[in-house]
Amino acid sequence: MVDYTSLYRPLPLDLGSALALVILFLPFLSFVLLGLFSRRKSETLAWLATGIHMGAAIAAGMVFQMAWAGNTFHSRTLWFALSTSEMTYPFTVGIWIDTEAALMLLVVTVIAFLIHLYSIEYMKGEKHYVRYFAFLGFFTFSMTGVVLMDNLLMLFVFWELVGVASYALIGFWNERKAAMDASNKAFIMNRIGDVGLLIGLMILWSQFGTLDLQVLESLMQQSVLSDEGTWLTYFRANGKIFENTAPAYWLTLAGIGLFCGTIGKSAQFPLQTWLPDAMQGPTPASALIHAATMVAAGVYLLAQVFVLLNGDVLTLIALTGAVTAFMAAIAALTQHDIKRVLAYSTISQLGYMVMAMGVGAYDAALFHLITHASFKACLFLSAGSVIHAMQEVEHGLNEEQKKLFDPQDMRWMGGLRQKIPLTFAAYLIASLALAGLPLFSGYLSKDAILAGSMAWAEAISGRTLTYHSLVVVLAFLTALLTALYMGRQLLLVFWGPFRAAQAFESARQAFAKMHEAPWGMRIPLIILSLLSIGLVYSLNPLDGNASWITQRLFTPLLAAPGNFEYYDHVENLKHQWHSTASYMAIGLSVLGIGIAYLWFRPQRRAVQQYHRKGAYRGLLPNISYQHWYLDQLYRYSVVKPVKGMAQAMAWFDRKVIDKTVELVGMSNVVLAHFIAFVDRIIVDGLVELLGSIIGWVGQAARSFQTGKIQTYFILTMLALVILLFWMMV
Amino acid sequence: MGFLSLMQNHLLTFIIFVPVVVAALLLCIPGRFKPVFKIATITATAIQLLLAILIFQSFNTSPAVSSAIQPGFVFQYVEKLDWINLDLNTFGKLSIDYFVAVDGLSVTLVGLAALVLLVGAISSWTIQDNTKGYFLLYLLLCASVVGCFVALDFFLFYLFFEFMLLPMYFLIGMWGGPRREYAAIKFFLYTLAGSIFILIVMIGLYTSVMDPIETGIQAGILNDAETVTQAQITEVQQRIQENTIPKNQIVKTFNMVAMMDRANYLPDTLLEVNNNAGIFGFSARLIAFMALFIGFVIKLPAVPLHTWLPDAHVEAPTPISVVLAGILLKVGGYGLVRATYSIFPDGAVFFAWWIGLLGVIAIIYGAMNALAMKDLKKLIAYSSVSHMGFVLLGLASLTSEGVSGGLFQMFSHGIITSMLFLIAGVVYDRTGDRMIAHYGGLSVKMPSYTTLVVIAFFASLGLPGFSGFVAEIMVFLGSFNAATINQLLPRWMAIVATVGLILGAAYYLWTLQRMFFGPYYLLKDQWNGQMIDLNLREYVMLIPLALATLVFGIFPSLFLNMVNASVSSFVHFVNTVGEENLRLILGK
Repeated sequence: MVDYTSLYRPLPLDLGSALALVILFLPFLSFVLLGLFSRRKSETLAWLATGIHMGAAIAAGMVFQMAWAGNTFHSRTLWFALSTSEMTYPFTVGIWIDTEAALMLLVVTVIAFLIHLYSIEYMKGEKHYVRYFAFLGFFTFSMTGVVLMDNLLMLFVFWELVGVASYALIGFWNERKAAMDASNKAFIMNRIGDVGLLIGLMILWSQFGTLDLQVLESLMQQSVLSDEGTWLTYFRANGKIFENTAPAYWLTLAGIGLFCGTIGKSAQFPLQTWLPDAMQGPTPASALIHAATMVAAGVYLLAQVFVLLNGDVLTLIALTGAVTAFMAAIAALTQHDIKRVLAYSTISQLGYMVMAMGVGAYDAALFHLITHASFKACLFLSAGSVIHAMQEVEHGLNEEQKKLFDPQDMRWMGGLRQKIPLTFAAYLIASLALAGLPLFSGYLSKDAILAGSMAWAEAISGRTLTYHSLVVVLAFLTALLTALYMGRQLLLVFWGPFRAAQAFESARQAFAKMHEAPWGMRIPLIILSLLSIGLVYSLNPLDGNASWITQRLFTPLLAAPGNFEYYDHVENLKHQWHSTASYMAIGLSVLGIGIAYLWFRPQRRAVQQYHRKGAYRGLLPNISYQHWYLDQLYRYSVVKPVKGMAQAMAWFDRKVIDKTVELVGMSNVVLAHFIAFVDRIIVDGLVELLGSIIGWVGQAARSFQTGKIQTYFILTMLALVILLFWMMV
Repeated sequence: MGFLSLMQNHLLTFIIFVPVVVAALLLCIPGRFKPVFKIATITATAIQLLLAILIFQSFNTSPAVSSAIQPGFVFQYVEKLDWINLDLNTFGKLSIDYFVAVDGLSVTLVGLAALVLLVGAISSWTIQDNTKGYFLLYLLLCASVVGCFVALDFFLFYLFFEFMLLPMYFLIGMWGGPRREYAAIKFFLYTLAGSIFILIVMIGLYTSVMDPIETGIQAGILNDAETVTQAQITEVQQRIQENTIPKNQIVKTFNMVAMMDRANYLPDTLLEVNNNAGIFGFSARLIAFMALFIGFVIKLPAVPLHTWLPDAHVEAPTPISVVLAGILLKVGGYGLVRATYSIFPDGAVFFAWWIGLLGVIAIIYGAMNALAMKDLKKLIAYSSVSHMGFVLLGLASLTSEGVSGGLFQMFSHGIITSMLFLIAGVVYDRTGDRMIAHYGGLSVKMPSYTTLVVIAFFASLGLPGFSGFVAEIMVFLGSFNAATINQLLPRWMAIVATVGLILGAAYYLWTLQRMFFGPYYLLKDQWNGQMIDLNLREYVMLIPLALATLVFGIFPSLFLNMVNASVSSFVHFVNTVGEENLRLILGK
C-alpha cells in the first residue's frame, strides 16, 4: 500500500522549476510596476511590459526545450499544515512541468507577448492606457499559475485570479454600462462553474486527504468500488491505515464537479452565454483571454484531471462538448458583429476540444488547443485591425450618422481586401485554418478530433446507433457550419462593395484613404498567421498523427475504478477511422464554403444591400441570432426569480422576523404597563387605602379633640348613656 | 528591569487594564481639551496592539502537553489569583478567581481585537460632540472586549461580557444616527436577553462543579497548588465521586477549565453527566447547551436572532460599526468555542446537524438579504450574517478543517468587515447618505477609494489571495469531510452552502457596478464638491487592513500555526468526550 507521506514529501527546487518561477513572476512584476504608475499615460511603460513578457516567452522557450527533451520538473514546498489528532495534513505549493504544461506555458507566454506588442499601438490614446497593460500582466501571471501548479487547490487559486483578470479586462471601459454588465455576467457565470469545481475538490479531499495531482493519481489507482456500491479509498500514513468510504456515485459526482470548472471557464453549455458578451472588452484582450488562452484553461484542467475521471463523466463531457460546438456554430451563422462571430466560433471550437477530451482523444484536444490559440488570436487581432480601419471611417461621420454606424458591424463593411491586404491575408489564412482546409493547422487537429469521436462511438456501441452517435453527427455538422460562417464572414468583410460608402458620402472618401495598421500591429499578425500553417506542426500537412506535437502526447490511462475497458480500444480504432474522417471533413468544409459563396457571393443584390438588413424575422434565424434564447431563458428563469426571492426574503426579515422580535418587546412593554397598573391601583392602592383609613380614623379621632371642655363633657355623657343603654338591653 | 519582568509575567493583565488606567487619568482632564482624549485613546489602543504583538511573538505554537489542569489543553500566560472566596458552610466554598490565560483558540482574537480597536480609535477622530464621554466609554469597551477573550473564569468572563454592553449602549445611543435610541435599546435588550440564558447556565454550573486543586487543599490531599500531579487530582476526583469529602470542604468554582472535565462534577448535581433526572425528561446538560448556545449565537448573530444587527449597524457611528462587526460578533463565536462547546461537548455532538443547518441557512439567507438591500451599510451588515454562517457550519462539523476554518473566518472577517464599514463611512462622511442608488460612477472622481473598495469587496467575496478564501475553503472541506470522519453533518450541507459564494459575488459586483462604475451620477448636485478622494487618515486606516488580509491570505500559516495545536486537541476533545458523555446521558 502506498504511503501517503512518502508520496507527499517536499521536493527541492530544480532548474526547470526555478525558471518557471521566473516566468510566473515576471508578468506579476509587470503588473505591480505598471499598477503603481497606472495614472501615467506613458508608452515607455507599455514597452517595458512588452519587454518583460518577451523575457518570459524566451524563458518559456527554454523550459519547453528541456521538457520536450524528456525532462519533467517538480518542486514542492509546504504552504500551510493542518493538524488533526491522527496526522498532520500538508497543503503544499508546487510546480510541475510535464510536456503538456511546457507546451501550454509556451503558448500562453508567446501569445501574451504578441498581444502586448499589438496593444501598444491599438490602445494608444486610451485614458487608462497603463492600467490596461497592468491587467494584461496580471492575467499572464494567473494563467501561468494555472498551467504550472501541481495541486488542485493552488490551481483553483490561480483559476479564480484568472477570473478576476478577465473581469477587469472585460470591464476595462468601466464607464460603459454594457461593459460592466458583461464583466459581471462573466464573473458570476464563472463563479457558478467554480463552485462546481470546489465541490469536486471537497469530494477528493474527503476521500484522499490531499489535492496534489500526483498523489491523487496514485491513490485513485488504489481505490476500489465494492459490490455494495461504495467507493473505498486507502492510504497509509504514520504507520496507520486510513480508509475512507462514500457511496459510489460520489466518484462520478467528483468528476462532474471538476468538469463544472471547465463548463464555466471554457464557456460550455449551459454556462456559455458570458463569452459573447465578453467582447465588450478591448479587442486584443479578447484575443488573449477570450480566444486563445484563458478559455482554453478549462480544457487544460480536463487534461490535468483526466486520470481521475470515470467513463460516465467522460461520456457527459463528450456530449456537452458536442452540443456546445453545434449550438455555437449555429449562432455564429447570423451575427452581424465581426467579433461576435468569432466569439461564437470560439465557443464552438472549445466545444470540440472538450468533446475530444470526453471521447478520449486527449492528444487531439490539446493539439487543437494549440492550433486554435494561434489561428483564433490571429483572427481576433485581424478583426481588431479591421475595426481600427473602420473607426477611421467613423471619425468622418456626423453625429447623426454615427448613431447608425458601428465600426464592428459587418453590414457596413465590404471590399476591404484591396485597402488592407496584409490584414486580409492573415484573416484568410486563419479562417481557412479554422474551417479545417488541408495545409492549414486547424485541419490537422480537427481531423484527429473527428476520427477520435468516431472511434469512441464505435468502441462503446459497436456500429449500432445509440446516443453516442449523436456526438459524431454533431461534430461533423459543426465542421460544415464552421466553413459556412467563416465563408460568410470573409465574403461580407473583404469582398463586394464597401457598403458604408453607399449610405454615407464621407465614408467613400474615408475608404479611399483607408490604410493598413502600423507595423507594431502588423508583426503579431504575420507571426500568428504563419503559425496557422500546417507545415509548422507536421511535415506531412495532410496527416495530423504525423505532427511532432501529437507524437509526444500520450493519452493517460484512467485511474478511476470502474469498468470502462472500451477506452483502451479507442486508441486503436482511431487509426482505422482516420482517413474516413479526413475525407469527410474536407468534403464538408468545401461544401460549407460553397454554400457560403452561393448565399453571400458579392454579385448578389441582397449582399450588396446588406447594410439595409434589419432585424431577423421568423423563429429559425432568431434562434441562431439570439443563441437559442439562452440569455432570455436565464433572465426569466434564474436572474429574475433570484432577485424576487431576495426581495421576498428581505420582506420576510423585516415584516416577520423583526416584527416578531418587536412584538415580543412590545408585549413586554404592555405587560410592564399592566403590572404598573396593578402596582398603582391595587398594590399601591391597598397601601393608600390603608393610609387613608388610618387618616380617616385619625381625622375622626382628632375631630373629638376640639379643646372645649363642654364638648368633652357632652361626649362623655353621650357615651355613658349609650353604655348604660347597651348594658340594660 | 523590575517593570519589564512584571510586564512579561502579567502581559494579559496589562493588555486589559491599560485602557482602564488611561480612562481613569482622562477622567481628571476637562472635556474641552478634545485632542487630548483622541490622542490618549489612540495611544492606549496602540499600546494594546503592541502588547498583543508581544504575546503573538512569544506564543508557543507547539506547546508540550503537560498541563495538570486539563489534559490536552495548554494555556499560556496564565495568571490566577483568588478574587472572591466565601465560606458557605454546608454549601461548600465559593471561589471566584481572577484567572486569565490564552491558548490557540483565543490568542488570535486578542490580536484581532487590538488591531480593530486601534483602527476604530483612529476612525473616531471625527467625533465632535461630547468627546470626553465618547472616548472614556470607548476605552472601557477596549478593556472589556480584550478581557472577554482572555478570561477563563466563567464569572470573570461573564463580567467582561456584560460590561461590553454598557459602553456599547451609550456609544450607539448617543453618537448614532437618527434612530439611534431605538437601535441602542434593541441591541441592549436583545443581548441582555441572551445573557440571561448564559447567567442561568453559569449558576447551574457553579452548583455542580468543584475545583479539584482547591478542594484537594481543603481536604488535605494536596499541599499547595504549585506542585500538583495528575495522580493527586484523580484522587480528589475519585473521592468526590465516592462522596467521601465533607460538604464544607468542597470548593465550588467558576473555573471554565475545571468545567470541561466531567470528573469535576459533584455526584447527583443538575449538570452532572450521570444525572438522569433532567428537566421535563430532557437531559439538563443538553438544555444547558442550548441555553448557552442561544446566549452566544445572538451575539454572533445567527438567523433568526440577527435582526438587531442591521439596525445597530445602520445607526451606529462608523467607528462603532467597525468595532461591533469587527470584534463584538466574534465574542459570540468565541463564547461558543470556549464555553458552549468545551463545557458541553455532548450537546455539540447531539445538536451538530441542527447547528450545521443553522449555519447553512445563515449563509444563504444573509446573502439573499444582502442582495436586496438598498443601503450600503445594511448590505454589509447582512453580508456579516452570511459570513458568520460559515463559522457556525465550520464549528458544527467538528473536524480540524472546519474548526480552523471557522476560527480563521472570524479573524479574517474581523479585518475585512472593518474595512467594509470604514468604506461605507467614507461616503457617509462626505454626503450623509448611504443609499446605493444615489451614486454612480464614483471611480471617476475617487479612483483610490474605488481601488480600496474593489480590494475589500473581492476580499469579502472570498477571492484567493485574501484571508477569507482560505477560511471559507477550510470550512467547506471540513463540513463536507464530516460525513466521512464523524458522520455529524450530511454532505449536502456543504454543497448547498457553496451557493453563498455565488450570491456573495452577485451582491458585491452588483454594488460595484451600480455605485462605482458606469456613468458618474450623484443624487444631489451639491455633493459634487464633496466627492474628494481619500484623505491621509482614511489611508492610514484602510491600507494596513488591506495588507493584513493579503498577508494572512498568502501566508495562512501565520494564523494556522497559532491555532493548529489547540484546534486539534479541541476537536479531539469535543468528539471523544462528547460521544462518551452523550452515551452516558442517553443511557446507551
